[in-house]
Amino acid sequence: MLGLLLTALALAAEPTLPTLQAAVPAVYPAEALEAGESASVLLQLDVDATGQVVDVVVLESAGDAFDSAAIAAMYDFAWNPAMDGDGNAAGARIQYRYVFSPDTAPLLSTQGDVLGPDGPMQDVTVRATSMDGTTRTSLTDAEGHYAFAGLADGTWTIDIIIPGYEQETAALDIVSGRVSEVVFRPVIIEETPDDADLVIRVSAPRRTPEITERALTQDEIRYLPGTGGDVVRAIQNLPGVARPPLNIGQLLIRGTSPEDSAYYVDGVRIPIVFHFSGLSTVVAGDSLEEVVFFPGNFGPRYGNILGGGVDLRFDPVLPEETNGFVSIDVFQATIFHEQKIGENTALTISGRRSWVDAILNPILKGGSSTIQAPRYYDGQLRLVHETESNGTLDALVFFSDDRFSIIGGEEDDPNAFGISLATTFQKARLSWRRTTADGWRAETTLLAGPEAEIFEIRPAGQAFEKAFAVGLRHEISRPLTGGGRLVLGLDSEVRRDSLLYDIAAFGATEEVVTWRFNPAVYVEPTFVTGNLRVSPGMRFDPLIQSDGFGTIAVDPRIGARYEAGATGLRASFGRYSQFPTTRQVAEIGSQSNLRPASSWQSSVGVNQPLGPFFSLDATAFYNRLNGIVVGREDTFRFFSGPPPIGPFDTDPYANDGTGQVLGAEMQLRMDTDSTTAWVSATVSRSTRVNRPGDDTRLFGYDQPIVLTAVSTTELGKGWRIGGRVRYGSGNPFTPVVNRIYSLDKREFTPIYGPVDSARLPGFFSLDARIDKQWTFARWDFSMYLDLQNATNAQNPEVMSWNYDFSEETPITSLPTIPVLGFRADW
Amino acid sequence: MRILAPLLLLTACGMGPSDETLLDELRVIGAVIEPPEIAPGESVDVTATVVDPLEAGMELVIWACTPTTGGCAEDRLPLAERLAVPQMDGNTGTATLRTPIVPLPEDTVISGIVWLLACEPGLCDVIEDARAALADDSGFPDALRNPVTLLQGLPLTGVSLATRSVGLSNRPESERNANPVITLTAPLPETVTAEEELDFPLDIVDDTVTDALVAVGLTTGGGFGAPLFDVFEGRADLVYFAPDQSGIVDLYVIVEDGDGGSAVWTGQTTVE
Repeated sequence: MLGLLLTALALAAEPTLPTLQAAVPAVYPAEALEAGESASVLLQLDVDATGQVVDVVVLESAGDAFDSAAIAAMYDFAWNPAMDGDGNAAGARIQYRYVFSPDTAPLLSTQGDVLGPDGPMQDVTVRATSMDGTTRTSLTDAEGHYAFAGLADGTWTIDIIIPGYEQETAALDIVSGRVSEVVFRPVIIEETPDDADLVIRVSAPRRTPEITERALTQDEIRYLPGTGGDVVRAIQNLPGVARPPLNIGQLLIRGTSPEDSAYYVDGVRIPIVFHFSGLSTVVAGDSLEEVVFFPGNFGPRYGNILGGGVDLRFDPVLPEETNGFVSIDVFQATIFHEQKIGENTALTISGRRSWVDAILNPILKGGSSTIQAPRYYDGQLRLVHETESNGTLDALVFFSDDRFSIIGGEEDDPNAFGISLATTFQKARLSWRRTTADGWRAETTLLAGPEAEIFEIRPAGQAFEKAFAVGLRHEISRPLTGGGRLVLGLDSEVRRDSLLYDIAAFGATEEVVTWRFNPAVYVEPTFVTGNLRVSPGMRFDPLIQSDGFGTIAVDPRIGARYEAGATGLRASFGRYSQFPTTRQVAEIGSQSNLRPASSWQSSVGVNQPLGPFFSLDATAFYNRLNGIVVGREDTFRFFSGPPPIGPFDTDPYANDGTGQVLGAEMQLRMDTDSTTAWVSATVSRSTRVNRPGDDTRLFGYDQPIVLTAVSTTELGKGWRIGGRVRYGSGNPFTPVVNRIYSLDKREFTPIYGPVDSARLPGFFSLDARIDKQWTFARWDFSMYLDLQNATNAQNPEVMSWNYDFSEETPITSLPTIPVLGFRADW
Repeated sequence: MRILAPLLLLTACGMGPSDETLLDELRVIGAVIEPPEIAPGESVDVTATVVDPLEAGMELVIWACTPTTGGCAEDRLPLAERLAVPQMDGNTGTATLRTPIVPLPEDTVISGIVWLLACEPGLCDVIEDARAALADDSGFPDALRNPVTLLQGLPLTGVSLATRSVGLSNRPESERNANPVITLTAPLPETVTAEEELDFPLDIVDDTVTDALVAVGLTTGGGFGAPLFDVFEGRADLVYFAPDQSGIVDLYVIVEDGDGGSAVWTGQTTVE
């Protein structure tokens, strides 16, 4: 008893100071991090009896930037409160030194601005709350800027508390290594000034990102040398993407053909993504919130492809103010204008037209031929309306039209020789998105319209593939305990295909009119446990064709991510299916026993920051393809696959083809305030076996080595320079080993060697770009020179032969092209 | 989208002599079948014209093989009636071959196929095999059954394989196709100057088929203005461009009627 009494007296005589329970990393000042500066700030903290920090004073400053970051972090520290002499919790004043070191700087998670009616709002508390209740706060600086670093992966809600403003809370998916931009525009409550609620408009990723996806920012895209500032051409600089022959605007993803990949607008498929010159994407990039590129091993959201894809996702956020631009370069002119037409509604209009025909056609007119030089145009008209119930209604009409023709005589002469090509589509899209306060999200997109690809050789005949397609995607998702999310979706398409192949020299005449219905459903829960994020998913893809054909694909997929400190590890495995084409099925309709081709894809990857400026991302992948539809090859195959050069496989269609793709890809990035640069490298081997018992051969688009180095640097005073170097292995081709001379027809017929047994020389290109921007009170003007193929490298793109096949005469890439462009932004 | 490649090729065009008309390596350029249309099982005379601009020498083998499932329609014929290794007389070689015996409905014309393989000496073992087979009357050389496979094993240069069709029908002789006849409207000048442009008018008589007549100009120096010239109302106006170097050049004009009927005219001039 005495001992207990003495002990109690001793304890009562020694009050304790607060002890740290949980620290949070401060946001490292960006400029200091870039410069590799370290610092420490000595702070005085008032910790109340609950362990909360209620006041912070700087005792030893390290400069405003470090001081502000340290102060903001201190308010999120959790303490065990001080104890007084009676053993009761008590407030206390302590000193704490916060040390900033570049080596331990946390990754930036999300950042943004708070912009009030009169401009940036300072000292606004921005709050981030995770699903497990963890709360972090950040104070806006004089520019209204805030940031959070080191947030754990998972769903966070972000809100702001400003008396007199309306409130709205939005969910945000945090993924390590990816920085989300969130802009708040608080709106004053005018009708009920006593109400303390707030309105927050948030621009945040509204979907769970693919584990394998890669994204580029608008700035990275706009100034990339050699891409003309085009959003999708920029993707060709990423690892896993090979360069297509003639650079005619296709994506070759991880050893598959362009036809194995697909393009989407807000998750619904569109027929093409490039104009056929490959110069630009068919929708204006400035309307897009993000361009999502998934090179393989993607989740069940996407289906009916064996390669990868690109999803163009429109920005659902209303513009802050009227803005737009006009740009003109040697190839095309573009106009873009975006304007609010009410408190909650905005209108966007944009269009683009190529120049080449406008210059060439008058010159060529008057000759013995009618020539329509290559010409394309596209346009978009969009109306976005934010509803009172935190939803967004988004209506879009867009179209694209590409044409080219040479007619040896008068255009209306039915007997004149001619050749022409047209690729067109006209689409209308209606989209509805809604996010609730508790993190539920729903998105519905309906996209419908005609599309056509028409090829004509006059007077021999024509071939076309026309369709009217209606796509519907409906996706709902809700948060799961622990920061995960459950996604359920419907991805359906119904289309009427009308196909005609009627050019005798190209193959047998065929005419097909049929309907297709493909109502796919998918589910993808994401579970988060500590630093591990696992996303198992399943996709059910049924297909019904009106001539009695039906089949189904069931594709299980799983992806996982593990964050080990700054290092991210990921692995994915899954099945991917691709239906036989309408033409392949229509041959015998209900009698067809064709099934979907499939690909088992697996990949492992790692991303690792290397100091304050560099980061490394590497992936190894292996894809095993089965049941590839082969047979009945003819020249018309250019509609649905690479036209075979060499002996045709004219046996009936069958799922006899197999193949495999093995490779690794790597991207080393450098990001500073003024410079963005990366090196992409892909090594791979893609092989196919056409029929059982055939020899393994190289795939027609196999490119073992693809290297890209790109850099763009801001020099100050509006100047920016950049360069890009590319090397890629040449594509395989089927060599001609001899020829037969027909004395009747007076023409040579080639005798081919083994299919794809020869390879074109490698491709090399150096591009350089310089930009200068002038900023005026109400508008900016910029000028750039994009020097494409600066060394005038003569790169063989496609093999061709002279008239008697005695000499190889490859078609080479474009020579040096100086692209001078002007742009005015308002 | 790879159709853009042939589109790009189409944009290439030029003036002056056509490269396609210059003979710069061994080539079988003509084979006149007399008669060009005949009843099944009857014999025809084949006169091959082979040009050897490099003067490396040549060997020629001619055989009949009209492909059928698993073989040739001529397989039942005696070897000597379907295969020949003719001695060359200048740049021509002749052979007499029998056409296959096949049943034919009335008023139907089908094509028998004659193959002509010319090689520089020593390049084509199959010619020696054919010669040996004819000498000892052994079987038809297997290598000749599949010319595509045969060519895959032969070099690209110094070898020329050509085909010519023979019309097979039971039509009366008066209705059968006949070979056209070429007549120069004016004598070929004995000399021309370097790079001289020479009009080359021809009269062509063809009693049977006229719609599809074309004239082909070939030469060992310079070139004709186009690979093919239309024949209109029995006349073809070819244009020849002399080379920029002096020497003797051979000129060939071949007329094809599209049904296996043909004629070959050969001339020579000196470029000064």
